[in-house]
Amino acid sequence: MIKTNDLTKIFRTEEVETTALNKVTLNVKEGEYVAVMGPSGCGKSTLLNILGLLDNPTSGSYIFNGTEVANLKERDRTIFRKGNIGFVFQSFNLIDELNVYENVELPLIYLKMKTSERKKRVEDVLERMKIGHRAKHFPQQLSGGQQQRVAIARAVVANPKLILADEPTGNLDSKNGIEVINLLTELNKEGTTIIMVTHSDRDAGYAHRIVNLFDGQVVNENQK
Amino acid sequence: MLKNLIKTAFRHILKHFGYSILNILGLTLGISSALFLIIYVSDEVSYDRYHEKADRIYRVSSKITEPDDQFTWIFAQIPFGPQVVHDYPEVQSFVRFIPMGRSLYKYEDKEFNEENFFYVDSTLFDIFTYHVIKGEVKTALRDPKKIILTEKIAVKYFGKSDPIGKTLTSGNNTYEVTGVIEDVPFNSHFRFDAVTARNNLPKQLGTWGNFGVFTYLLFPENSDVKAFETKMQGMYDAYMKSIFESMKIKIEYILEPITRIHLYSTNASEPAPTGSITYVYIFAIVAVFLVLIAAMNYMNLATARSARRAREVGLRKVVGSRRGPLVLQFLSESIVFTLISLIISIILLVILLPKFNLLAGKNFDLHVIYSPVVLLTLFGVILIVGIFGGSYPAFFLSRFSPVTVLKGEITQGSAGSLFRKILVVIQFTASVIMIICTLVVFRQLNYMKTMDQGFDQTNVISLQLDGAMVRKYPVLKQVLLENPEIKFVTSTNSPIGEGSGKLIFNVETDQGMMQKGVNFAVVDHDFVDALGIKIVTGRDFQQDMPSDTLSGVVVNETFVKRMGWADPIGKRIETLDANTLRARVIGVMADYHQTGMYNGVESLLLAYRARNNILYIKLSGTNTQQTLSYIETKWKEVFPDQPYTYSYLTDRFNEQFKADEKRGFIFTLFTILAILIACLGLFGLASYMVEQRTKEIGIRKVFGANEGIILRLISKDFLILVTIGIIIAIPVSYYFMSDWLQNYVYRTTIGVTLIIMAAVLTILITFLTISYKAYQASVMNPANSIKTE
Repeated sequence: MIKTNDLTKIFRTEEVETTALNKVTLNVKEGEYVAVMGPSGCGKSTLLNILGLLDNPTSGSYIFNGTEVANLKERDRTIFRKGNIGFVFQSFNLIDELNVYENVELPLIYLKMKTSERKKRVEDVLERMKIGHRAKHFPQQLSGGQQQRVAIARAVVANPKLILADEPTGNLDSKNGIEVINLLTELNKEGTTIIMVTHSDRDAGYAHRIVNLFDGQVVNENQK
Repeated sequence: MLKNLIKTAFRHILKHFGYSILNILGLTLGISSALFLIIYVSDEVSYDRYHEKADRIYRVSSKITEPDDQFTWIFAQIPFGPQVVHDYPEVQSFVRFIPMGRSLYKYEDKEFNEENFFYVDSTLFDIFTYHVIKGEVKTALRDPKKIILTEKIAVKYFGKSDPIGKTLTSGNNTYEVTGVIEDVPFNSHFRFDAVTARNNLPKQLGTWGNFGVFTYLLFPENSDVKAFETKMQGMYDAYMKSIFESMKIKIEYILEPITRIHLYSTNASEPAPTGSITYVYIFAIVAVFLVLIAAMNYMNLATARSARRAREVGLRKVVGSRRGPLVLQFLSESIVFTLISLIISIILLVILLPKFNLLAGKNFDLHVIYSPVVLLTLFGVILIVGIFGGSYPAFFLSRFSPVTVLKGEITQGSAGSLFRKILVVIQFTASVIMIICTLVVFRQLNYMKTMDQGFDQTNVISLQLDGAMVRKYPVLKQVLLENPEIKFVTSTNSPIGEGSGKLIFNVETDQGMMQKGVNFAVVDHDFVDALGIKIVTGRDFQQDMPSDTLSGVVVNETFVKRMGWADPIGKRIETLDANTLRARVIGVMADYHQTGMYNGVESLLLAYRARNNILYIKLSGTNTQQTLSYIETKWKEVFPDQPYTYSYLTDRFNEQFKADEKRGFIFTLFTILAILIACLGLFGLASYMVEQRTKEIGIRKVFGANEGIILRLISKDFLILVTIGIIIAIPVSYYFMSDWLQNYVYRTTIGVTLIIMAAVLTILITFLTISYKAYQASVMNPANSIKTE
């Protein structure tokens, strides 16, 4: 599903040039559950952003489902992302002005799905994430665990093939963290490919494979 | 303390340079526009106030009421002035201006036609205040053959040499220059170029039936002029009843304070273009609007940035600052902004004053900057913008509690958002009102210009003959008609579209001969054809019917309607003495606008006179340049000593719209400025909105929103506010402009299309203003935007 070859990302400011990713080559098969680990600043989130088509690499190749996507324009990346990739962030990134239902509904609106079908899908996913009773609440009215469940609901509502999770348990206590990881594992069992950036060995333990990054390079991969 | 405040303010301005530029630009536009408008308004209200006795001088107008008509002349009869002073001790003095008519004046080799010289009474300088530059002015007005020139005229004839004692000649008359006065100020309802003693005219001149002189009365201080106005109607019984009562004509005198004439008179025959009190109010309101819109921008931008400043406020409070010094700090920032903008505005005023003069038809010089009204405006601006504009952000920002702020509970720009929305709505309501008003003003002007005037101005040129030149008119006409490109040559005594004489005639009606006041003009053959006036019944004056020239008149349809004639041809019309004119109607012409588009069509009578002073030449429209050269050559052959100047009738006709056009242009200019200022504010707000919503935009993009969706997201909020502004503005402007249109006899409608146009224009402008920022937001890389923490 994902093949990268010599993926490099360099951030340039007026004075400094920082290599966030240095020739990363990585393959992820469909249905796989991969954890990316490494110290802060090693390039985990940058890798995830590129894999999620939120950003372009400076050089190298990225083939997603057989298509070269390394140098797509923002407009084309948006089209590619839609319905294919779901995101879960450490800081949830819910829109404060929208309630739970509306936050989850967002990707479906952008897919131009009919209202009736949207309603069914959102309600189903909220039930599944055990958050249906909070549908009318706004993000600030929810606990961190609940917010992350909403974020996961939003990530999966469009049935994406790939979910990218950037430290999904980073802002949660252990009870809520385990719940979130269980949800992701469940989704993986149903066939969704998951790539998760984490600092937590416990969370990484649920993955099929752990990729370790250091200074923008893959230093080792542990297949379980 | 103060030094510290100003230093901090300057640092803040420099640090946030883009924001500062936006603020200064907005404020400068608002302040400089307001300054120009205030100068204009103060000039308009200053008319005739420079006379020391301005509040005691009144002009006499005559309101004439006939059984079926009523009109007002801004003149009185020649005997009125001396008689009223003689009969009523309440009147201190009088002065009359009697036109000397257009004549050629000569000094050595210099000769010019003058139209603005007057005979005046010797009391002129006791009543009005004019500054004497040279010579003796009082005695000059008692002795005949003396003349007082304005500076402009003195320089025109005598250059730099001393004019005193030199003589000007006109025909058989010689006038000795005994005094020079400064030009009559531009802010005068009536301006003359030279005056000479009324004693130059015969002592017995003019009767009570003869209106035609400007008459001014001076009253003692604290007079009850209103009561006197009623009392003086006794003049009618004493001197005019015997002449007018049998004709059922009533004459009332109206006393107009001279300080009101410029702005309040609607009389078409005013000697100089009048102003309009409505425009004075409108411009004053617009000036205040412009400053307020600019002040609102400041408030808007300052509160939108509140969260940025909130942290600073919180920290300052934590380290011990109380609210007072914080308020002072924010106020000092707004005052520094205002002062910078004021300085730039004054520089702009200096640079742009000549252009503004051209646009407004005024003659301001740089001294205007020191005038009390400008200084007062500047003070007002500091007060409104600096203190009022600065106080809301100052009190608003200094209110934040340090705990709330430092915990980050104040989100960017959320504070005061309702207040900002209201300000945007107010700004755009004002802008849309101004757009609609501008469109209506020009629609009305266009309506008057393009409506059927009842005559055809195309390819008609106009020339003027003076005094004795009229005698040679037939010669000129004959030679001109030899050119095949000249279709018609005709003449009249009343320029078409500019007015006409009015006289009382005996007219045949079903009730016998009745006296009727009727507009009249005398014309030569071919007048009707040259000007494309339609004959409805009967015929025009015909060359092969000599009786037409002696006893024929042509009347218009309104005349026929007014007299109730079923069959107008052959009806009798005579002047009161029955010697000047005893005629029968030979033709009826379709109504045309002899008195211009600002007046309704009145009953009009054309009588024949072979030689008249205003010449109209209808050209074929081909070989125009050659034809014009031909006319010039022939003119010089017939009148070798007379300067040749011609004008197109269309240009002369359009003169009547000039004053309205100028005001329209000023209004348009300031409407554009108001919109520009509002847009600057909007741009600022859009920038902060995008900044504030960066993360949200990023999230939306991550989950599939494309550029179009983001553009709509950003624009939607502003467009809603602007639409509310439009909805409020439509009924308000409709109400005001319907009222304004009532000033016109011929008026357009406001119309749905016009309102839709204004609304679409506003939405388009709004969209263009915010689209740049919205576009930037839509193409932001979501990977960067969601990092905003």
